[in-house]
Amino acid sequence: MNGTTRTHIWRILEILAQAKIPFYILPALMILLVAGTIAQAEMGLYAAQSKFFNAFILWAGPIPLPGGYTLIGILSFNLLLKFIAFSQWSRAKSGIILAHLGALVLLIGGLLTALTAREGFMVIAEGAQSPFVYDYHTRELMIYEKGHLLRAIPFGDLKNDADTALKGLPFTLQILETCDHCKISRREETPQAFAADLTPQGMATFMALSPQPPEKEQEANIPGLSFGIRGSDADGLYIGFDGMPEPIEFNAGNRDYKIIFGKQQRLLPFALKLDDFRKIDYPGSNTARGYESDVRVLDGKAEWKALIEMNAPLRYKGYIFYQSDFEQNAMSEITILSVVENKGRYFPYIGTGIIAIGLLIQTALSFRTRKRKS
Amino acid sequence: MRFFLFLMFLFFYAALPAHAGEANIKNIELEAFDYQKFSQIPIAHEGRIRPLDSFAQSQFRLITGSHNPGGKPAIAWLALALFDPGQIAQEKIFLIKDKRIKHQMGLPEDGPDYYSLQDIKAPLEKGRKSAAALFEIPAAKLTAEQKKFLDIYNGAEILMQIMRSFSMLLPLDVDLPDIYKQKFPDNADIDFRELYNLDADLNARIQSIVTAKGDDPKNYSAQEQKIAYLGFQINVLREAGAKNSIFKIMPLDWQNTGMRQWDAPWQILLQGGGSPRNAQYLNQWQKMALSFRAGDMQGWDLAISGFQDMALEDHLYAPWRFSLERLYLTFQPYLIASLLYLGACGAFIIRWNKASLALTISGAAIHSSAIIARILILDRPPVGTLYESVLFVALICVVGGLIMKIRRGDNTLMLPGNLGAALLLMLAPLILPQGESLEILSAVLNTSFWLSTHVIIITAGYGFSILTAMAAHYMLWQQARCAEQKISYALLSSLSMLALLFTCVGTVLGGIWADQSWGRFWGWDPKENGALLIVLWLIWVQHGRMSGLLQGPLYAASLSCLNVIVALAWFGVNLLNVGLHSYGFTSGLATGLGIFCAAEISILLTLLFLIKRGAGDKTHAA
Repeated sequence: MNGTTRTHIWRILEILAQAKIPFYILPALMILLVAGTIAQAEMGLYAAQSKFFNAFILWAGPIPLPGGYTLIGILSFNLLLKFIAFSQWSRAKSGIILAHLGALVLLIGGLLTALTAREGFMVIAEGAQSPFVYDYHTRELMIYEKGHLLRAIPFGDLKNDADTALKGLPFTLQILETCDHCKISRREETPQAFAADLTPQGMATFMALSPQPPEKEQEANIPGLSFGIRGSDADGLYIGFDGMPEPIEFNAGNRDYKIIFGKQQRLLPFALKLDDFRKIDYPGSNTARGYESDVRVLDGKAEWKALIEMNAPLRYKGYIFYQSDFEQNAMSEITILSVVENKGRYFPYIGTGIIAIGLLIQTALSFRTRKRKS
Repeated sequence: MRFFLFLMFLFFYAALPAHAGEANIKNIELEAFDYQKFSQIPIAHEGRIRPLDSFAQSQFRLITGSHNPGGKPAIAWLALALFDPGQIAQEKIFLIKDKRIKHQMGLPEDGPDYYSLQDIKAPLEKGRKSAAALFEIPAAKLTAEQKKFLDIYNGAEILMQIMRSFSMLLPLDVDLPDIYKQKFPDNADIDFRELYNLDADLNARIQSIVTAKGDDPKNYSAQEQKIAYLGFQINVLREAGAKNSIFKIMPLDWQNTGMRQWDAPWQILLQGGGSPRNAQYLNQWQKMALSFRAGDMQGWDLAISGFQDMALEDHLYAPWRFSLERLYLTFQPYLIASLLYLGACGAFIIRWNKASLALTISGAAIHSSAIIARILILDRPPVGTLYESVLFVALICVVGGLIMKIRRGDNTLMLPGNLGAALLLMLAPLILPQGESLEILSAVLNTSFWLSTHVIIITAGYGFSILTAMAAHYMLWQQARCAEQKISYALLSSLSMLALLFTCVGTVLGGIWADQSWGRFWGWDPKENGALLIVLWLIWVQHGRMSGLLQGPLYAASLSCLNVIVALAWFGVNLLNVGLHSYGFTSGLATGLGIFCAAEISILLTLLFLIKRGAGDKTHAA
């Protein structure tokens, strides 16, 4: 690379690091922020976030517009370039430099979180224990043989091609229909014409699924599917949907199988047991003052007690357990805990500290300069 | 069947002890009693142990729209409602101005606007079905007329609940059948608790009458009708009492294991769970009721003193906290502070700088004392609700201006600070939910650490942003008038840096709180986005200034727009009613916010136009 090229590249980098870039990009980000926020009222939180913020391109009808990732990416690049190559390292600019560094740390943390964080939830009844974490959004078709999970096929893959995932099994599955949000109705009310050899079995004998437009809140959607099983002792048409009350059981090749459709499950390297759940009310009211779960961590032979309450989670082996919800009825109490794994969780703490120091210095310098001038 | 229809006809009236003992008492003169000690009696309401006066004010504001209807204190009305329901049912305390509602309810349209419960009882009973249907509709979708109708309905329901609270203690106006007259020779003093002992016997007698003569009361003898009616009265009182839970003055949990629970007398009577101590408390209440009804001031004072001695012995409340709450509710500190701030603005404009400073300091002293009083009363940091954030931001505005004046002798921020604070304090009552200003917090907000850090810092950021915007307005105003520049661009820049410091750190701290509570730092929730919008706007203005693209009046105008940005972030996101931070829809907020934003943009465009024209004139003259 000769000197002229280097100069040209340097010049381009200098332009890309200019304060004008954020000046022009920030209004676009603010418009996106306002539009995405307003859209949440109509589309629901999850859908609006996916469309506006967690996307490179925002499609306004047929017109592609920059999405949140693109705009934040440009700003991050501008910030990184400015910080590394074009910062004016002086005492007068120390506050700005630190604030920029803090913002970079936050953005790196955000990237790490986007790449590595996994969220889910645990449901444990009083006296029961569970090693499973359920995903909020991802559903899958799980095939068990004698209680062991053989296959877990994500819902998205089922829609496309399930055959590959099912190779090696003594039976076949034919996915007939999938719906992101299904209406469950009586079979006689929902005539469906599928292959002639598939007679409805199990729940499908009296229930049928039909696709519906998705609900505003993603949690309100009931994903499900209709499928046929062949090569077993109970061939026929079956249905599976989120929250299905019982598994589909059959025998094929002298082996017993179970099929469950539901939220994706992950196995923790330990289990939690719920000893007691408490909802503590303010005096003379039903308004909750706090929620608490007395749990036991069961890790191999070791076992110890822990308390999870609002704003005070339990941390263990990289997992964090938050008190997020509960169910109470006359028979039992059930705690619902959010479970998060996030390798980028310390970045916001560090970034905030650096930004605070930077802006504090810059504000103090700004007032001192003004005093001197006056 | 006809028997029960006949009974149902009486249900509405009989469920109220409005007619209890009417014949035996004279009309009570409310002013004759001293309510000082009575107002200090503890009650559990909306999750907080509060003085009875606080309960009375909040409830009578809901019932009548005023905390002192008819110029009499709410605590006096409460005593009347509790102890002489018959009289309060005749008092004209319901204000109904709207002629369409009067027409709809069949009330006289041309008379005075005040009505008694007795006046509106029948129309409300008639409109019960429509009211039930309206209650199913979300508040945001109701028309103003429908809301007013439901307010009257709600008010009447609350008043009736209060009136029934002690219906088991008050003498009942019952016509006893001869078979029971011997048991109660002094018929005038029978109360529900005594009649309740007859319940099993009465039921057996009614059953045998119905078996023998059917369910038409016309076939009964006079004595049998009396038996049937007495049975009905007991049943109606019990059923109405079973739903009566508003007046939670009975402390439970005598082991005092931290969070003591409270319940209403009817609940304890019908569901059990009380103790001998509860019976002692109930007896004190009965003494209060009887002395009040008899106009016996001495007996009234003695009964209340006896009650207070018991309450203090049982550590039911801290007297200093109750006195402070009464003072806070009576004094109206924010109204006084806002008037002082407006006075300070006036004094500043006519250049009475010392008077302006004195008024500002007095206003800030009252304002901050009131906020400290809230901290002590609620036993938590000062900002946890939208209303509290307005009070705090107003204080930041005025204190910001005062610091500049006192520390640096620079009074340029006095006018913007005082004006901003006064406007915010006037806005505050409009966003008060149901007239209740001393609220408890939901479980997730109930954390002193984060309320003291994130919430204080972010609201201080809102305050500095508004101060910056007001200062920028003032600068544009001076430029438009071609007057002497009192505010420099350097000051604006420093203020905006201060606003950025607080809003940015506050926003990120909010993310850390979310990470601690919900396991995620950022979730693009409307409230988070609102706070981020202010930060991005401030960063944008700073970069515009650094890059030379925003200079002079445009720079000041961009900072002036902070008022609109803050309003949208602060109040606007509540209109969406989504997300984890959603605080609920505040009626009328959308219109107010729209008018404010349009007015602000119009003012700024006008100022920019005047500045440009002024600059053009100068060039032309040169």
